[in-house]
Amino acid sequence: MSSFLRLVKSVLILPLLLVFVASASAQTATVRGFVTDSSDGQPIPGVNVVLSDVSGGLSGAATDTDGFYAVSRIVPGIYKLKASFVGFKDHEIDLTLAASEIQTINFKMVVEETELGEVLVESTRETAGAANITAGLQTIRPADISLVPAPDISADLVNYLTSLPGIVSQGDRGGQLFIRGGEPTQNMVLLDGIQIFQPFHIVGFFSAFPADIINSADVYAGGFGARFGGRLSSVMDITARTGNKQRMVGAATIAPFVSTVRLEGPLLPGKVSFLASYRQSVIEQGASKLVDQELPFEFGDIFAKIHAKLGSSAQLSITGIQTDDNGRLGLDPLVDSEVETVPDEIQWENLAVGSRLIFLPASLPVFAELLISYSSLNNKFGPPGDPTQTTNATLFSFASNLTHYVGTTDFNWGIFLSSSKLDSDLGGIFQNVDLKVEYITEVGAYLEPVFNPMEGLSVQPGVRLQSFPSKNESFIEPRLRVVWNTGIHRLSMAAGTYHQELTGLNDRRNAGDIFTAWTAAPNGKVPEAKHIIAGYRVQPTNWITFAAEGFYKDLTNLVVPEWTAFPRFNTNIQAADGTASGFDIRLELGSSDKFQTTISWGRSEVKYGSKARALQILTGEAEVEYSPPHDRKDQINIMTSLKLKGFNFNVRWQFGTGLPFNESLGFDRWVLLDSLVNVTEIPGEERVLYGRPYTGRLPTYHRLDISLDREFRIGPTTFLTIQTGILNAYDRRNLFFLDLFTLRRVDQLPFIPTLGIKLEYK
Amino acid sequence: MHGNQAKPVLSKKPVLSKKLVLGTMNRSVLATFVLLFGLVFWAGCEEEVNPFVEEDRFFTMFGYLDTASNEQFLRVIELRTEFAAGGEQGIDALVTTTEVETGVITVWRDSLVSFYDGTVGHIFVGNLRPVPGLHYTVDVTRSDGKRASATTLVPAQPNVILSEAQAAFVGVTQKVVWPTINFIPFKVEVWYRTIDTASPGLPFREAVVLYGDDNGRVGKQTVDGWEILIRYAEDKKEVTNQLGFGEGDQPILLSLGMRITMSDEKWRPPDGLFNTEILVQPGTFSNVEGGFGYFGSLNQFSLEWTLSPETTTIAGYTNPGKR
Repeated sequence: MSSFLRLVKSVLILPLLLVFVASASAQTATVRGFVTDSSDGQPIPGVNVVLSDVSGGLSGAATDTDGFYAVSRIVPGIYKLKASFVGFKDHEIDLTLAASEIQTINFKMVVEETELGEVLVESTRETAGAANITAGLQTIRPADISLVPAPDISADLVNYLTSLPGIVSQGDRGGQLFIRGGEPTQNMVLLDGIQIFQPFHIVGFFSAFPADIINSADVYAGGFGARFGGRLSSVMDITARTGNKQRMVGAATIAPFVSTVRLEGPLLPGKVSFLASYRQSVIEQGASKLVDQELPFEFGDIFAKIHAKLGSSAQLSITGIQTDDNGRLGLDPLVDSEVETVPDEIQWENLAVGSRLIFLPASLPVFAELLISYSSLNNKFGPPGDPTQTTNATLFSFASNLTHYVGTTDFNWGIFLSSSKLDSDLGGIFQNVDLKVEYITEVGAYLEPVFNPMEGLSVQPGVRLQSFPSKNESFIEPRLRVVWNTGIHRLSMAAGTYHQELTGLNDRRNAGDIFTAWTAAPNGKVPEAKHIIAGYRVQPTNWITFAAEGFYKDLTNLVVPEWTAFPRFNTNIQAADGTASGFDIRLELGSSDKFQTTISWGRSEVKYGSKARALQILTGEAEVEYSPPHDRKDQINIMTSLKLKGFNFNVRWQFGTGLPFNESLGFDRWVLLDSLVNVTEIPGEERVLYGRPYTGRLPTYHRLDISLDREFRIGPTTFLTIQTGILNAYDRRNLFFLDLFTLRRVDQLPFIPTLGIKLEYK
Repeated sequence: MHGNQAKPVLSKKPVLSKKLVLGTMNRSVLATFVLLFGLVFWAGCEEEVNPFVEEDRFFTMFGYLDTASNEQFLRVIELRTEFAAGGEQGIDALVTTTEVETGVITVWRDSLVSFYDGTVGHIFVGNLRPVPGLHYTVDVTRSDGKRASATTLVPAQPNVILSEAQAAFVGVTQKVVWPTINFIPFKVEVWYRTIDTASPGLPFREAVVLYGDDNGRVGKQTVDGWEILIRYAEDKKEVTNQLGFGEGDQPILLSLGMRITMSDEKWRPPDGLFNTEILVQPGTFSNVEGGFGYFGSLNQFSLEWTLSPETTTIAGYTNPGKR
């Protein structure tokens, strides 16, 4: 513990030293600022900002999701600053920099417009590209999301995520994502820095993140840096758009699954804006009637964000989101199919609100960020109105992140503090877990400098120190990220150690029960993961990108339900270790403005090792290896998007090999012969005759989705978009859930034609 | 992360002629659609899922032969591919036992029993009294000849060592050691054959004290064998209670004895514990070939002795020699 405290002190003292270093070496100048879109005041990420001196020497930076750029260690002199980004006119200014000067230059970029027939086409902002992956990190922009056929005219982030290799979903219901072998509770989802516990809706096409509210999303499928922690598998860091600061705009959509209203505009023109979105499912009135099938799902979400410019060097945003879901996913095995009963219902609600302040100290080349947030989840499962399993999790968190720009090195560091309250009732599903109300405090710091020792090479070592005073536990987590761009090639790698104190417990034996109880590591051992990722990307021409990436995750102290032959009654939980390994291959052809095709193949293998005594006895092995139910070996996605005469035609074909399931020899009845048992009086218990766990494989999953849409201008700034499409075009009977006890199967959505209308005031 | 700002791309990318690019792209469009629809055609076949593994196991059975009874019972369950919360209905099974050493075959009869929880099950009844030291094989045979079977060796009476009674602070104790027994007996009883001193003409009466798990009364494994300690003072209270003696009465103790009910030597759960969560797992504890479950046997082992006059008195009884 004392060595841990010494390390914490080191991490906190080092940044102070950096301030002095920055001051001492301040004979050079710094240019920094925010880049926004002149039409709506939105920040533009990915803008190349280049400074050129009279001799032609170049230095520069690209804007981040806040539209922020910083170029430091500039020799005093006269420069030309040029900002460029696809779809916008280049922005050029001349500037003179004095020694020690820090200039904040914010500028607005003007959209480049082209006439195409009768329709005014606004050049689309660049897609990040499905093959644009760097050591597990994939950046997603709204333009990427819109390439995926969706049942709703407003695209949704999750629909894009499920088209990426390495991300396995249960299918079109359940809202569970497994990322490179990790379980859903091992993914951290952040919206403007606010943690959202369970943001994916019960219908798999939808999340709390419609494309219309997203600025960008960074999805780390592993190997994430020291800024993030507390999860074993992945981080989805989503930044919401800011509202239009120039004028009121909005949109309303209607489609068979969901209806949406979005409104945004200035509260103080040019300075303060708001963005609000409301979505409500209309499945019962829409999709359910289209397929003439009961689809017992309901969901909705409300999102709002206020963004204010506090002068030229500071911005404040307040973000809030609320989601609710309920529905029935599976079948009750003990209920006779002929008997009318009320099936169990899953229900959850997220409520989260947070503020984010970013500012640039006038005299220091520093970017500072302060985050304060509250998030809660309420999850219930059981008969409607009388749930048998409940969980309430609340989280208050504070974080401060700073970046010091010292020459070619960016020193990132930060501190964080969070407090959570966890209160769950498992309804007896896990006999050996006695949950009580728990309060967990987490405090820590991180340091993660980014060195750029030569052009194209970025080395980012990091360390994260986190402590749980209430649990008397502390962890030191090393991280490393290296990216080397050389010509058309990019080589990258990432590695790190991760711990997850807040653990999600669920019973994966039943696909219909996605209830998740949040608790502290229930068996006293904190789950741990070690990641290593290595990738290669090449872009020989503007319209071909190829990427390949391999990963390996070593997992220890996982919490899994104990193996039991009792048919889906209560059980114990147990610790298991595991590994996840595999590779992704992605090929992207074309560009988003005409034709784009992405072909990806993900291959992975997830293995858990159980030391459950029953399995040891059964097999004679000290540790029994098995493939958990989310171990999809191969996943292929082909997405094609074609833009022709104002029409957008999108096709997606997904293929996945079958997920593991428990085969059985059948059923019998079991009597415990532990004494002078009178077998004429003891009825025994029904038993399923399982052998080794998860030896079977469900049938392969594949589906073709198609959509076609066109936008019509019906007023000076009013547009009508009509979208039509087909989900599951060749009506594949993809299995969602097989009930071993009744042999009834629940299939995923059948062939569904869709028609959506969007009225937008831009 | 602000420290992760990508540096701008300053190098030039290779440039191809527009004509070449468009031609190549058209071919790409065509190739993509051919690939897409080829894959759809290839993968379009429906697949059914069979959750059951084919295996040569047909029945589950639970029961045992009891040397104390002329009627034996065996629960037989036919393996099925349907969950049956209400229990089984019909069964296609013929149950026989064969006394291996003699070749005597007994055919068991089927009975459909309704249990207290509303379920029903097939109990087969065999009229035989097993002989200690002999093997018995039970065969459960389907009409098509498929069969599950199990064999048990009925435990024979082992040796026993009776220690001298010891008078101690807690009263008189006496050890009984069964050298060949290596597992907890299913039942341990100690009987006391007494006569009421107030009515010495009446026939003797027996009190049977059942030794339970409490305070380790069923005994423990020692290097000498299974050791059971008799604590006479504790038993005296139970004897007094059962036979209706007064608290200070000292009934005549004619003799006493111990009877333990012992399972066959294969009736030993993994790790020596009857752990429900482990034993429910098929195959963790079974002696059935071609099926699941357990078919065992039981025997009662007895030992009778008398106490010395002094010990009888210290134990709270009257020695019969003074009658």
